[in-house]
Amino acid sequence: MGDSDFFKYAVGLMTALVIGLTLFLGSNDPETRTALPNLPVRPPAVLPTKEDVKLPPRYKAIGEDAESESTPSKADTESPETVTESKRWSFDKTRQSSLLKLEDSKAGYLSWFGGSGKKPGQFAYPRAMVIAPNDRLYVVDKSGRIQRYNKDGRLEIVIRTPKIDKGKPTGLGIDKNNRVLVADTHYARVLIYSPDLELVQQFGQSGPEPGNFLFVTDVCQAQDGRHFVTDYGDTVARVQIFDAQGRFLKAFGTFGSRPGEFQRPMALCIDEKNSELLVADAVNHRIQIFDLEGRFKRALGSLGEDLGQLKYPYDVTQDRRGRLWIAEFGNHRLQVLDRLSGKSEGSVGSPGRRLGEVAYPWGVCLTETGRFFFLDSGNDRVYMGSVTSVLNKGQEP
Amino acid sequence: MSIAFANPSYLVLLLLIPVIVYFGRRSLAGLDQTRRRLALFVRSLSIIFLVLILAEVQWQDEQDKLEVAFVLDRSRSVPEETRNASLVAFNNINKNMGRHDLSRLIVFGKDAATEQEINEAGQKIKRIQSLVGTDQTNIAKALDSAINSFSPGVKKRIVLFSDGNQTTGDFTALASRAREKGIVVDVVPLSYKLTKEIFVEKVVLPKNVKLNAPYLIRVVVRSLAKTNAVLELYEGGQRIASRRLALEPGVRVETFTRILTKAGFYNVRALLKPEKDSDELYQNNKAFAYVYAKGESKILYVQGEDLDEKPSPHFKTALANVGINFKTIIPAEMPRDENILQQYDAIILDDVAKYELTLKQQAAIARAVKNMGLGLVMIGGPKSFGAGSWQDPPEGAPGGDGDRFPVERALPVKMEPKQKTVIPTGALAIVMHSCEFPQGNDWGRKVTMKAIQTLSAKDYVGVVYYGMSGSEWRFPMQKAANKNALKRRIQGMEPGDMPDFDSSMRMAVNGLLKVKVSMRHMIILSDGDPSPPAPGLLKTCRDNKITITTICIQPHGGKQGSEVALMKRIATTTGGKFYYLTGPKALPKIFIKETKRVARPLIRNIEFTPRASLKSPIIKGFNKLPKLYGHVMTAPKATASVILNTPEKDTQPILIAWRYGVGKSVAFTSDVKPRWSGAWIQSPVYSAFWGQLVRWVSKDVEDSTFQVATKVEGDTGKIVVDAVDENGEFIDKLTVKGVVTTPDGKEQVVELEQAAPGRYKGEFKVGEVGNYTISLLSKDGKDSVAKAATSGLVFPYSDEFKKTQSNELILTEFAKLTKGRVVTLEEALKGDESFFNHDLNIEESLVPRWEFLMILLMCLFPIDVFIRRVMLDYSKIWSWMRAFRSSQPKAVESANQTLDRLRARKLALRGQELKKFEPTNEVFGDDASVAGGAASESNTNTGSPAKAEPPKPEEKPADFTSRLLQAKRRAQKDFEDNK
Repeated sequence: MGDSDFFKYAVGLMTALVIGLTLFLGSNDPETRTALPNLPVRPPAVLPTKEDVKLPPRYKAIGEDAESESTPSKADTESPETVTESKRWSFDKTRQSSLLKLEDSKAGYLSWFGGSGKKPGQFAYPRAMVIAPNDRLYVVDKSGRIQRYNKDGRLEIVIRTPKIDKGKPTGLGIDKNNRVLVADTHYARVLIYSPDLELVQQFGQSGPEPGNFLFVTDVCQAQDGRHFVTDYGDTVARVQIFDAQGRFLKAFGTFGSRPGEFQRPMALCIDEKNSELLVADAVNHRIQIFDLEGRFKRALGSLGEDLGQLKYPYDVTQDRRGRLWIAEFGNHRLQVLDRLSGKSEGSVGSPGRRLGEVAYPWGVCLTETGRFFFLDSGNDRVYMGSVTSVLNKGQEP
Repeated sequence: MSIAFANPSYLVLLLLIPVIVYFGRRSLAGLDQTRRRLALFVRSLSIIFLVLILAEVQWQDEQDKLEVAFVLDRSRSVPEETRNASLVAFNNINKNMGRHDLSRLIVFGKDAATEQEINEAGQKIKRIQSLVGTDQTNIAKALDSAINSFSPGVKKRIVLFSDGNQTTGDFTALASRAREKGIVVDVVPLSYKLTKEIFVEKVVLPKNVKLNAPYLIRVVVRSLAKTNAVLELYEGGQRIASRRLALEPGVRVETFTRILTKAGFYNVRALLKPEKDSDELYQNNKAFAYVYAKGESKILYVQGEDLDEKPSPHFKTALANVGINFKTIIPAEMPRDENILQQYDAIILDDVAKYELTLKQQAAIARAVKNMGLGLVMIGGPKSFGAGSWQDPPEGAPGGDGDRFPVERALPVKMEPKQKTVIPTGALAIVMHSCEFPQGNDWGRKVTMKAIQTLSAKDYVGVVYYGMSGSEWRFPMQKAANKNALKRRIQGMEPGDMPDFDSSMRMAVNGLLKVKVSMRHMIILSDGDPSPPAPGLLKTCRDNKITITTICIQPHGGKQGSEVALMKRIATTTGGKFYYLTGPKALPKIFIKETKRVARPLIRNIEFTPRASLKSPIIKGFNKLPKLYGHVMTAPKATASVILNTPEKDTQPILIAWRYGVGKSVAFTSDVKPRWSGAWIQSPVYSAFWGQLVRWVSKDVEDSTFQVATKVEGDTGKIVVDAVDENGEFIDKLTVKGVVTTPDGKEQVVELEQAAPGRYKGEFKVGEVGNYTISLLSKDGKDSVAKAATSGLVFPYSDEFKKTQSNELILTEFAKLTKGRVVTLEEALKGDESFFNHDLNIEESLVPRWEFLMILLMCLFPIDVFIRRVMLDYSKIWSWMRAFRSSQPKAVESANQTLDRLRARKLALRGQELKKFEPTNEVFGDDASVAGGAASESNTNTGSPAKAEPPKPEEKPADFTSRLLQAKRRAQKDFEDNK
């Protein structure tokens, strides 16, 4: 059936219907009229009222309790900053630790200086520190700067080592003329600066052979003028001895963990009184003590977090009573050990980033007047204070 | 005027009219007679109209109306200025159009289209909008369209503007049809004659030639005038010859000698470049042909980058030993165009990972196999098949342009082994040292997350770094199921400055040893300055097959530094890989690559002797094959043939083959290097096996079994294949399929049907001018062995471009047949009014009239309602009309006079009754007092009803009361007389 056909039929049907309806509905004869039944009418749907709408419990309608709207629930706003002491690094709770307070440098209290940055007086991950007999403190950081401070922590001079592309120095020492010895780690050499940080001398070159350096980590000078230098790299880990002019004399130590062997020797200290050489044997977690000819005498410490144990000792120095003051990179603390027994004589520091806490310390040095400087490398600051605040009770400073 | 009915059976419904009338009388009883009759009339009329509509009444409508269809030739054989002139002539002629005339413009070329209808003189068409193909002339189609376009019952004329050069159809056959319909066709020839024209008629050359043997290419050129031109010859798109010609009128043959040095199918094109102003049509300046050169077999050997082993020369030596000619390339050198690949007979991918080839390269390989018959061999290795990131396409994913899995579709194996196969899992430990280059730690986190993402959910992963409590797990060794959670753990990681490798590596090694996996791998990212691990730790790794890959990035000491030596030693001691980087860009790729060593290790390092499961020419002559020491796990596709497999119960396929399009494809899941094929290399089987395999998979030799013929008819390309075996018998019941590659690179698939013994036919549409390449593949019903053939088809330029002058004779003949005239274009341009002469006959035609009747029917409804429902005071209307007609107003009949008439009528009726019954005076007296004429009777004495007074002689007859009295007296007198 075509469209026109359908149209015709549809109209025809409608017409017939209309005629029929007209006949019956239009008739004047009441008997022939029939009323159409009423269609059922549905009642109107009930719309929800405002009261019916339930808001999620967390939200309130605008205008109601506006103040409470701005008060978030405790669960929503707990931030790390409000975390209490319980969120600190979990260490051995029996450790003795002093809460550092910000006061002047009177006995019992500590202060600090530094802060993160590359402006003078700020640090970018300082990794070595040394103090001269005249109480001048030298700090070298990862930007290659050496900064000199006075004993009160005031900056005096800032210089930069000559080359820093390959890396920056990680060791400082003082020679008998108060010159600053710099272990220029990634350039395999020792730089010697005047007390006012003018470069006067250097020695060393790269190589695994004795007399050359790989990663040179620390340098110090004995009273007899000999320079003692630690370096490591691949299977090399040793102490090398040079004369005052920097000529190679001898080397001792190999890679390993047996007595006399090293794994990443990080620092040196000369005990002139006892003619001993102290070496912070970091990865072996010990301090090895040699005579000044390199003969092994004893070792102190073992891997651990307890007092008397060490974890990655990165620096060692001695106080006037011969106690060893050790900066522990791995334990984030400063610990004092007896030079003979290795017993812990005191400690300070707990891991963290907040003021008063310590992160990855690389250095420690002491003045003759009983003060210490502790290099909190990971937090870019130096703590300074009285040694008595670190030593155990009953220990003489 | 004749009337007809299409459905006369409906006329029986007219019998309903009396029924309607009967019922109507009853229902319309309340109406007065006039209105009732009117209503019934309208009702009946409605029925009549309805029935006529249903019966589809038709009658002729004679009008003196003329329609003229102007048919204009727009094909390219007519010069452009002549085409334009025909449109101008059309506009000029239309100025003479009559008031009731209609003018229709139809344009044609290959097709016909009605441009516009004009019903007003002077209306112009400025530009032709319709698009019709202009490279053909189909006058028949145009005339047919014109003939069908006329309305019924009108006078008809067609005016044809054309050059008479039809290329398709035959319009002369329409003359009789036009005559039957009373259509007169006048023609206006569009005359032209080309004087300057050059043509390339054809290119003649042999279809098959030998390599390094000369053959001749002949180009037939024609010119109408003396002129110069340059003839260029192209082969496969490159120009191979150019020759300057000094042409004379007539035909000339130019011969070229050519030698082909590479095998393949070549498209040849000859192009004639005229001098300026010496050629009018450029479409006929080129011609096409093709030639096929069969050559020596040559293989393309693609050697993938070695992860662990040095490149092995054994395979190449083996191929050379069996006389196979091959070229070695690295994946980066793989061509992206399959036309370049067609010079080879097969492609071998030796331990090539998917990421070593771009998608374009992969697509070219797949097309070369499918459409050109090249063979494809994929050889196994640590980064082949699934181990090399080749993946199965997702279920239902379509192929074609943009397909990301072209090579996977071509291979006879799936990359995922069967589900019931237990797939060994792996474990990856990442040791992260702080990176001191800018954003170093950020890079470290990113690549670690990438590694996690690359692993499967069943693999294990753990990350070690140096944190505040020393070497610690960022997260310990665990399955990489919840990747998002693991990645979130990495996001907050800040690797510290690791003092030594030992503690972190030891932690990682312990974690790796705790999980039961078949592959353990460690990645260390560092600048190398931590202290070295203890030698014992590296030995532990080696003993437990823990491979360690070290990535030394920006070491302080540079490439010569001790840290480089340290990290390299760690990697080489444990069988891992060492990377030296000066920057982080390559980190992601390296991490993904290294992670894939672990991810879904589909490599099985087991010793087995492959077992033959099918006879095949590839393993013909080998009774026993040497051992293999590993393979990559795969699964054969449903229709693939597994020729070699492992001898175990849950067997794994080793050598699998199948047909892919016109080509063949083989997967060998073991390798060709000492790693797994050490025993094979030592055996003479090695060379023989690979020689047989490569020869089997190579492109099929064209044999004489198939004879392929192709031709063009109109816009259809036809393929005829004759299949005859070596005994001369027809080969029947083959399944023959062809892939046609058009000049613009598109592909069409053509199925050929058997039309006769050994003969198969198929066809396809051609559009663009040029060479069409046809790759044919046939299979018989028994096995999957199939034969292939390649052929071509040339679709030359249209005959439209071969005409040099108009064909007026045919037009004149046609006009005569239809009793039309021949009018020159010049006369037409003047606007000849004779085109709109009405001296034509009208074809008898009946027109359906239902629409007209429908409208009438619609109008009757309101009329019907009006008649029944609206009561008009017709007397008033009449009086108005009378008043309107005459000038004097007529006295309006008083109400009394009307009443008097009514009463008189009543009396008259009553009087007849009184003659039968005795009236009483009381009745009359009572009546007299009640009658409306009481007012007029006020002059008479109504108080004494009993008295009968004799009528006065001068009484007024019109007065009702007095008449009543007179009647009473007469009645009384009569009574007394009778008494």
